Amino acid sequence: MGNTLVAIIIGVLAIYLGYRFYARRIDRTVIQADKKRATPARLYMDGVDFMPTNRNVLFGYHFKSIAAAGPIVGAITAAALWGWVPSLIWLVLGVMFMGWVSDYSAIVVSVRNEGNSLSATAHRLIHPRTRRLLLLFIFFYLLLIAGAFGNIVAGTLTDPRVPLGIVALAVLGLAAGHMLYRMKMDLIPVTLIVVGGTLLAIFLNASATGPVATTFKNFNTWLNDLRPGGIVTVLNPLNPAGKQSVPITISFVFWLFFLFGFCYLGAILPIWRYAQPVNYIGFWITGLTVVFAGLGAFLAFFIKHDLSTFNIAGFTHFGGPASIRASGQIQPLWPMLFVTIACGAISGWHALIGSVGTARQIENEEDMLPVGGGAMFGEFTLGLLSLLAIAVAAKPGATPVASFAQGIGDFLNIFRVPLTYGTALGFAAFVVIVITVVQLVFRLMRVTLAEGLGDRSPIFKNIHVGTLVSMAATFLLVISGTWIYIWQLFGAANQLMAALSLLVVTVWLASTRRNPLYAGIPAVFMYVTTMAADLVILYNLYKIVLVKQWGVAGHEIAVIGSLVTIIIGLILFVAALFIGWDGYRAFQRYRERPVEPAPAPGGVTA
Amino acid sequence: MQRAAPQSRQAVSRRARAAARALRQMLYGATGLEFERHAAHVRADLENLLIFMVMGDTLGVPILPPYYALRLVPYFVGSVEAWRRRVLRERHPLESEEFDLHGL
Repeated sequence: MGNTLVAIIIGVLAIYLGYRFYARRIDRTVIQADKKRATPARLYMDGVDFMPTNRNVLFGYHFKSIAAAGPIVGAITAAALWGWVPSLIWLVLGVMFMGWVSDYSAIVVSVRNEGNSLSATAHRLIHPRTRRLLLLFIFFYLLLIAGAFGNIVAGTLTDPRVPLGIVALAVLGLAAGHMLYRMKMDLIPVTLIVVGGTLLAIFLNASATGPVATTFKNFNTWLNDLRPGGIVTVLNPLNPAGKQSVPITISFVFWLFFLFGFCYLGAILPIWRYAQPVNYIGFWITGLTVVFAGLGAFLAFFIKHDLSTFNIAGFTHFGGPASIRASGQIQPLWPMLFVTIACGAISGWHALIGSVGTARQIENEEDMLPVGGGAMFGEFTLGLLSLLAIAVAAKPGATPVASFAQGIGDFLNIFRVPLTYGTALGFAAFVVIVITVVQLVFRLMRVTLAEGLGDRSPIFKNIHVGTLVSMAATFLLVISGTWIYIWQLFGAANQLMAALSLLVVTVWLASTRRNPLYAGIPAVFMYVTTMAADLVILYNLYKIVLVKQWGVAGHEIAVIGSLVTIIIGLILFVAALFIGWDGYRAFQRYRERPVEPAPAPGGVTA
Repeated sequence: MQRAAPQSRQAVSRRARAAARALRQMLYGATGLEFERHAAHVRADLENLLIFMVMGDTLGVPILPPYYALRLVPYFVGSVEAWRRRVLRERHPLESEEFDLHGL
């Protein structure tokens, strides 16, 4: 039977061994980071995009940029499906041999190519269509995130202990933007006011029998009484047979629209007015909760030993739990574990999008590893904490999110924080970290729509139209009911982006006559795994959802939703085939190129 | 032995101070840096417009009357190279959201 101390020791060892012996070796021998070589930040220093920044400051910035809801949701879902042992093994091995490679190498490629993004480098090195395909990829990827996260947040908001904190987050986010940028108040007093106010709202709503929670509960009941059978019935393949038909209740739809309203503000208002201060408050809520819960997880072994013992199976079955296997769907450990836990082990988003801003602030090349690789190891700890939280608190019948929140509450209880408040903080931290992602996702979807379709149809350049179209597509995905497949398809898309970013890195290494294996092997593994996972998800969607609901009265929306998801999966598969083929040809081209004379030492070269 | 003890205490104290400084810097990076970067971007956007107005004549986009533009040019000569690189730099479609980009 596992416990938190053993898992934490394994995690710390993984970080130490992976960083000290593998990562540093690659940095020294393959990349040959040179302190004296000028980085784009020093070459083009303009105080705006290119600004040399201290490595510790940059680590904090990059870690905050990449750490989000992915490692939390993935870890708690995978643990419920296959057990904590394979989840822990993938988190550990994934980050040791692939995760840090992806993030670090993306920064290296950007630093050595004048601060250009990976997609711009792909355009130059691989094929011009790679960049267009990546843009197409990114839009559907964002749609999947919005669908997966939107579903889980709307479901969590129906818990009457949760909503007030989120309402406070929205109101105080607007207030914070105004106080900082219009009233020119100092950051510290603004932080105390808005973070304190949000925490107060969370605690006011914490008790399930308190007046606030009772009001929300009565409100949800009143909404559901308007239409007791729900507005549409969908299939949830994770439920046991006989209980798979699940109504989408009016309260769920109401909170989904609440989420859309929250994110609409984030998508259309200037970023300083709403999205940025909301993210800032969310960082404090989640950061404080995670740091203290992590300490509690460590101390639990010594102070409350029964709290530190895992409550879930170490390993269920290669094909997942019995209920899954009985339903006819397939959830084989390979390849599905590797896409269910996405961001905690390796993530394509960091490499393709999140690294460029950081790369333009790297002061000297020796900072690339501690910032890029180090931040990814840091995100691994978030995934590990989520795994520990659900492992100690999972109960039969409880949703993974509720178990996660309960686990956080248990860890905070080590510091004498009452369980009610600790659990409320766990819920709030989860919803806050997810909702801050979703609001930015809609913003990015609007921008991607404008970029992709704006020239042909100028209406998509309108910020309201772009946002509403994105939300309409998300709504369709969410009420199709197949959350697990949307989440896994998102994970597959994310890991596919990781494979593609590693492919670009591999081609760059080949073009600069460096040993490409440290990136090439993870690239091939992730590529094959995620393509296989894509096909498994499409099979499950077709066989378990589409076929079973086709022609069933009242399930039409669910059928359309699953059709849309299948089409998205096919588009991603085909786009990945093109990119993979182009990447392979580019790699062969550079490998067979004759060796050029080495440049004179001391010059600024790639 | 007694001579070594204060030195080792000093070394421990130096390391502790360095660790505390590193933690403070990480916290600043996670909290305040994005506001600093955003403010720099907002200022740069305004500066881009202003330099464009001043140098507009040379680009075939006369905005300011030449008399006033020429009086302002000496103040902006040092910034033109950086301005040119900033404006003409190739951009990723999502780059405008980047500094406030959140992980996923």
